[in-house]
Amino acid sequence: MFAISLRRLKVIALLFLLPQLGLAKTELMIWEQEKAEDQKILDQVIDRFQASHKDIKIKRAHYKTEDLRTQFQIAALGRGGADLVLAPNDFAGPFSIMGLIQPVDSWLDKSKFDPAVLKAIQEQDKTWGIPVSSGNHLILFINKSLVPKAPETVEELIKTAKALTSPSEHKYGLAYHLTEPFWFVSFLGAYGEVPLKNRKPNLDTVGMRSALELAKSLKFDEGIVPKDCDYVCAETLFLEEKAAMLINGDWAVEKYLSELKDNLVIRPLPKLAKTGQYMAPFTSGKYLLLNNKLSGKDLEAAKEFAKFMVSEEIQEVYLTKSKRLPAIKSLRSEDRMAKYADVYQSLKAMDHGLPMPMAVEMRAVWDAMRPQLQLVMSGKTDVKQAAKVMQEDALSKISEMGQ
Amino acid sequence: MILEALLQMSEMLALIAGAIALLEGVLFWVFTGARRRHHLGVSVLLGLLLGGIYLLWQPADQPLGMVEMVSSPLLGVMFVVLTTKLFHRVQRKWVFPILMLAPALVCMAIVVVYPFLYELKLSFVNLNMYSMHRYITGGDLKFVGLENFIKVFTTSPLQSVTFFELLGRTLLWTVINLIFHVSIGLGLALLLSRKIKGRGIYRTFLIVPWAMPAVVAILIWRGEFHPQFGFVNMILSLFQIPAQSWWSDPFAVFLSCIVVNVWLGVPFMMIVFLGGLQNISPSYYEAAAIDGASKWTQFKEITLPLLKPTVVPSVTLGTIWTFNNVNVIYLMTGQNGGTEAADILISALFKSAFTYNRYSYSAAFAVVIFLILLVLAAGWLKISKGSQDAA
Repeated sequence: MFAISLRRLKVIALLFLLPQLGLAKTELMIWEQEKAEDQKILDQVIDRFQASHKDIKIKRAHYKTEDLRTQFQIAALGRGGADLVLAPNDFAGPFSIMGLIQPVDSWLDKSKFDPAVLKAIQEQDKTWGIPVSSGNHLILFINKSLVPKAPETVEELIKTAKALTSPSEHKYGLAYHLTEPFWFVSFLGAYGEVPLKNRKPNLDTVGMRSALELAKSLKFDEGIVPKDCDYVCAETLFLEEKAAMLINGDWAVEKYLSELKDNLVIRPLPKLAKTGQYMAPFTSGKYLLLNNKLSGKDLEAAKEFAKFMVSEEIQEVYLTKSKRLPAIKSLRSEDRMAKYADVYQSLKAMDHGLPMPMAVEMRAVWDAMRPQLQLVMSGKTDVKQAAKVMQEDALSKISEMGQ
Repeated sequence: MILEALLQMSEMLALIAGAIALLEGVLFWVFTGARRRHHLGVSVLLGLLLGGIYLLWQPADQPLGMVEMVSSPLLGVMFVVLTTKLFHRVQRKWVFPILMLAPALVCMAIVVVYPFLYELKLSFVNLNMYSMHRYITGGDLKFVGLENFIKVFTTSPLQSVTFFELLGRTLLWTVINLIFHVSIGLGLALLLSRKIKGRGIYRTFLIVPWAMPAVVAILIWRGEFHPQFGFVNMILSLFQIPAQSWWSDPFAVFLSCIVVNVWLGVPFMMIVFLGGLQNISPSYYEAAAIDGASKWTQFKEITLPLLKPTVVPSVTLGTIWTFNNVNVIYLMTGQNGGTEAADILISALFKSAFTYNRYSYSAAFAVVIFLILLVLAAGWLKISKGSQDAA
């Protein structure tokens, strides 16, 4: 029978222990909700980081947006979850209140970031994430072959769109996601209103009623938008050149540039001549959120990775490859952006935008707005009633969320 | 990457296999080795070990609470008592069945019993977005008694829809779906049980909705219900029926969800009924035909009674699945941002937990749904005498 001597046992034990001793790596898990192309870019960024930080290993897991929100909450209930979450700013609202993520003020150099991008992740005097990109805002995409001169005002846009609309041929002047409040908020901005003021719903207002009237008139009076068009429908119409103009987010710039090439023109959302104010989309970006459980070596590794993500080198990678606007000031200057003419207009559009509040109350506001907006856009309620119900629903939901 | 995933899976499998082996080993020792004199001593040692593992399982960054301090020795004592009782009480003929059932019972305890007890616990405390931080850091949750259960009936889980509206809609949803599932499923099963040409091909096509991933099928259906470019409105326009707002009109949204769920649910009923029909001996029909019974009489007096043992469990299952169907509503109404006009109890529960972070309220809501289903299923089984066969 084969006998194992004590000496052999020691050697075997040492062989098993070796990797655990000298070569032990700090392992971080990152959860994201990036689109397919951006996942590849993130993998490349992680590879670059690991090449220069041999002692840190980063694993990535992809989730759909709502799944990421849900799964992180469930995991955190069991005191687990990813070490890092790459997500839009509205994730940080509930996560910060629930204590699932930690503030980064003590070590983040805030002066290097664009103030608007930073503001969107600040609440209660704390910064809850590291801005990785900016934007996530709506812009006007124009097919130059159909609309040679970009409209400057909403009134001009309506006039131009009317001339191009022919419902019998399924052709429209403008397309956008009609019933999604994120799109509607930009109409509200043209009347100088915001849906959440000082963490309180601000929905039953003159501005809201006027904005609802404007959105409704584009469908029922002017007839320039397709009936009941959602995100995919609007995008398909635009790419098939059946919609001359499209309101969509900056996340689609790269896709439309590759499809329409020189025919694509990007402009900020137009000004409403009547009020003299621009349609104001919400702006935010992507942020790296740090799990509250992180400490010691893991926290240091997470900080290293965060700093790497906001280095000029990586910010430029995102700008070049996915047309994502940088979060750091040094890359946003006019001279630095000059060579990225295709996205410069998108950056300019942010000037008219408003930072999207990360407050948890915003969730109740979105959900109060959606059903009423749908009813208005299907002609089943009047704007006065819709605004009143929105306000009541938002208030009651906010009070219930705390119970 | 693939190698890493395979390694992780192997580790997981090895862990499960190890846990099962340990469990079986302990049980085997309890039943066979326990005759030895040191049985009590080993039992106490294992009990202490179990209590120790429980304590080690608690988060290291938190001080141990009173519950943990009491639970740990209690667990050990329970183990000693249970092993001693098992040794004395269990007859030899039951040892093998217990050993075989033990892994499944432990799994059930982990994935069903423990979550259910945890949910019950949550329903009596106040875990929500604002108290989560306290809970995670110190496990401190305020006991609120029946407050969450009262809120289930008095506040809306979504925007304005009430519990009773949701309950009514859910019952309507369940009844309509089941009527169509059973009637169409039975009809198709009767057709397919006959000797017709190309029966195998029909069966294959009819089973496709069931074989297809539900998420894919639902999203395709959502496209077909597109108010402007969808197939459904195009068909309606051929009959001069005005296009419907399938995505925003409350009634139309609900109707579209029913159509999709009927399409998804029919194949299951059809297959189950087909199996039941094939178990009915043709000799009954031959005897009835000789006695001059009509086709309808044969169906009423032979097919239906002999199909009852198949119908009752499948309808019970169908009721529970349809009542608890979150997929169709969630995806058809545009997921998280959908209209509440088509929500049923279970989809409202999901949204109240993960959109509004009302965990304790949702736990109470889930307990109420569980009780409703328990009463419905028990009532149905009693009325239909489902546990008895037709003979």
